[in-house]
Amino acid sequence: MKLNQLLTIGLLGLTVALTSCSDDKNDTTADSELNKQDKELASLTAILLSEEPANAIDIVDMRKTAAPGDPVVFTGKAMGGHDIFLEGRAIMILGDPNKITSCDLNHGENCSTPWDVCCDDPEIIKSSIVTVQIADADGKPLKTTLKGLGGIKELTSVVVTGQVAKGSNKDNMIVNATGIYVKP
Amino acid sequence: MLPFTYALRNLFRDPARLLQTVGGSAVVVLLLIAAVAMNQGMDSVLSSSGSPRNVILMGKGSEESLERSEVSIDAESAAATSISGIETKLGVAAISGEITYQAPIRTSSGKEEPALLRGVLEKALLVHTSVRLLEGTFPGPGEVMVGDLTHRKLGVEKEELAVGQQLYFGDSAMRISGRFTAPGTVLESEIWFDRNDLSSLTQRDSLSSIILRLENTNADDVELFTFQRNDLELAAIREDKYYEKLSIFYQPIQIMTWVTAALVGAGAVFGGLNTLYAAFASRIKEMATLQSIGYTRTALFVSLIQESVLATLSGTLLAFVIAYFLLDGRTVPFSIGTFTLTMTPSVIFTGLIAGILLGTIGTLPPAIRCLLPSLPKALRSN
Repeated sequence: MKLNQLLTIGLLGLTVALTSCSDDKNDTTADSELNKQDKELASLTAILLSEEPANAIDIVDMRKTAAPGDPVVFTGKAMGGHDIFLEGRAIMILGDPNKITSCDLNHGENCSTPWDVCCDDPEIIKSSIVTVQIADADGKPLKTTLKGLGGIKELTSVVVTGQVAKGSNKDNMIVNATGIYVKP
Repeated sequence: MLPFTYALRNLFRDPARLLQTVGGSAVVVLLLIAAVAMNQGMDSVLSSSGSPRNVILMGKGSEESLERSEVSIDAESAAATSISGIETKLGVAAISGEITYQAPIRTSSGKEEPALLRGVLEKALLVHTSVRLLEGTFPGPGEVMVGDLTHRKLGVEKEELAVGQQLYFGDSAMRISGRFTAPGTVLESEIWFDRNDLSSLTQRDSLSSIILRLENTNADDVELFTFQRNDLELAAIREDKYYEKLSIFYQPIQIMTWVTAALVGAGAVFGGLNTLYAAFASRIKEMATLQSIGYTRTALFVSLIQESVLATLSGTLLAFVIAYFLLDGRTVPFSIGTFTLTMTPSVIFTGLIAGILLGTIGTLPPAIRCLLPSLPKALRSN
């Protein structure tokens, strides 16, 4: 009887110890994931500017002159396609409102994706949009969406400061943002 | 309770009515199981055609249709070098730029029907993993490979599409080099061309789509690529989601099938009601006599239901036999492929439930009406 009791207590103790070890490990992984997310969120929040940068130019003008590595300050509107934000990635499309027209201004409330620019010429759209990303040290976009950051959503106007990413060319431009000012 | 043989013997008292009930329920059940088998077959072929590990890169704005989509040929190499997580086999990345085109094809007998054509290179076999070559070889220049069900789509005998036969795209003759299977998918009804051949025959210098097979089902990197390469004007959609969207397009046809089956079913129930009202009305006195010798109304009611369900289930059995010989395994062509009618357990179950419902719902009102009068009144009735 005594042996049985001892064995039961021993087994219970072992179970508790093993469970605790396993929980610790899970906790550590979850903590590190949370820390990573916190850090990414902090980098995103730090990028928001409280004052509008001066001398911002239009996207079309910027695309004519800027080369990879150049610092840029430009203004744009969150529009330019059916999907302009990517779930789980700090990347978005901005369009030049002086060159392309968002669907809400063409069709009013009838358009289900008013940030689309379906009525414009594809070639003009191509030269009037820019991809903006917030990259990590490896140059890859952070794994969190930009939608909602500082109130950014479809059709929000912003001013972006940053650097033209490597690999950009006259047909395609990506900007690594270092600051974003959300226009009221 | 009344003995079961009472219900059984009663069935044969009026052979004409029995035939009418059995025939009517057989037609209704046959129509219903055909509708279920058709809808299931169409859903099944569309859901099996797409893999969750395959992602289709299509032209922006043409996400609804592969045939309308246009993708630059350069996008294939750009995607291969920029997207991580693409499956590789023997060092070759599973990425296939394809041309999808719908056009009339003429067989050697002169019959011309529209068919879905796919211009591919050998790499297509790395992304369409369900495809197996049954005989012959992969198509080279001047050759095509046909699916195992392509003959159904073209409405010709299988022998006309045997390896070595000719098919005509306009005036261009193409030799059939091989025959492939891709069970349960729309691919099985397609005709595969050498990509360069189809490109020159259709006079296009772009692809319709690029299909990538990923190591897992996470397509984030592919979507990221479409954002970072705005100049290529691409949209990414998982292959299974694409075919899911296509099935929405066919929903009106499926709804029409159900509506037709429901209308015929309702007609049969009302017709049955009419017949049974007349049949049971003439048996009010008989029921009253049975009550007076000790049988309860419930026992009589159960016997009437038994009688009716026996007749409708006989009709159901007849419908199953007809369906087994006429419908099971039959292939039905539709705009993007061919699906097979199969008597699955769920189809059989639906037919069985329909047979039981026909026998009960249609019998309830006449049976209640027949048993409702008081015993003296019922005994005096004519």
